[in-house]
Amino acid sequence: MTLKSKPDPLTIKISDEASLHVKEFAESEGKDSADLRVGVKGGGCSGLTYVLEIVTDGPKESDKVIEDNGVRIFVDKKSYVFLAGTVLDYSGGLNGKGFVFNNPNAKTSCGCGTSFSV
Amino acid sequence: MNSPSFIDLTSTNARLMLCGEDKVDLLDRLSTNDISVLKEHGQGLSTVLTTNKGRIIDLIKIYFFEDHLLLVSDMQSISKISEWIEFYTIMEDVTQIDVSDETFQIRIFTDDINRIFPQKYDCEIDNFFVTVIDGVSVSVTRNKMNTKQCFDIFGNKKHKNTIIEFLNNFAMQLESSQFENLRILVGYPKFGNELTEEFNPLEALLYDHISFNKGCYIGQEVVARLNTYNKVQRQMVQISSNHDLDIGEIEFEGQTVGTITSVMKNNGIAYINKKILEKTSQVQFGSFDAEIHLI
Repeated sequence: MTLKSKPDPLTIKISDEASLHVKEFAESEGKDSADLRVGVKGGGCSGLTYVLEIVTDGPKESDKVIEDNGVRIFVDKKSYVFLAGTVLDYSGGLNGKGFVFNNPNAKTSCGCGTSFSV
Repeated sequence: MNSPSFIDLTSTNARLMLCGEDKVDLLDRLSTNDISVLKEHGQGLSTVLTTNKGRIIDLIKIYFFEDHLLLVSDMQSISKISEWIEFYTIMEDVTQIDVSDETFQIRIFTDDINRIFPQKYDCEIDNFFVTVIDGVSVSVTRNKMNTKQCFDIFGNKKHKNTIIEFLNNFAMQLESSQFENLRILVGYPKFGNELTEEFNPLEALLYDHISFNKGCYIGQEVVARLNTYNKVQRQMVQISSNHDLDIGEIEFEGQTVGTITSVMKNNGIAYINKKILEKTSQVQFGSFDAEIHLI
């Protein structure tokens, strides 16, 4: 059984399972590090949509850098306003959604769950 | 009104320059039409900014210049639009410059643009060309207000009078009331009247400005569902009467079935319950009969 991380409004967390998958993806792409960039951008049905990518070029000067479960998470400051308190989880299996943002700032989400409004 | 005419829209409409590498991508994610098709100088299109509930913020024009996009909206909506774009500019490289005070916009109504611009221009609707009038460089967009063809001239505001003097040789200058009358007679929606957050783009018959296969944008889920399941409740129509009309409710058999949103004497634009359109074209405004006309 995977322990779920509890939301902390002052940071972004990543669950055990999500961190394992980040490391797996990084390894499968031949990347040494498992740094993760998260963010939001305008769009999607509900207004804001999540951005998630594995990066190798380190944080940008203005990024907030968070380390959790062995994964460094980079987030730009404007995105952080919308993501503070988020726990990044992973929903596996045939019906799973893959990486899931459990974002306490999201008031509504679109049907497919990839975008949200605050 | 078939003889050529023109109207100075400089203070009626706002003009916003959008710069930065992500300008097209951002607007594509914020509005109904497929902005990604804009790739070359001279292209343009109309699109609708919608809320996440699929309601109208405004119908805007987007023109693709080499180093920027020119966004044209109603002057009353530009603050909201600018704030809306700013709010959703998060990771993107997009900057806004309001050039409304430095530029002019004049709309010409004519069936023969080559009479005014002797060169033969092959310009699709919504696209534009750059030309020189009396030594002044201007951009001329081909436009339409429903069935009414028109052309918009954009340029530096200090040259506006030169262009007006030039156009006076070919066309009659319209007063704002004449332009409003024309707008109502062709059933073209206006911000604050038909284009408000009370209505959605399908009710306002803005189908030509919606891409149903481009993917997600703010409000897309609602707009797509309304269209797919034919759930559009109201429709924009024209309304006329033998008596002067006014902004207000219209009735059928004692029940409120719609709202008049624009009026000029005995003609107007209204939103009406679509089910009523299947039954009748005769409605009442106050104690007077009125007739509904499809746009």
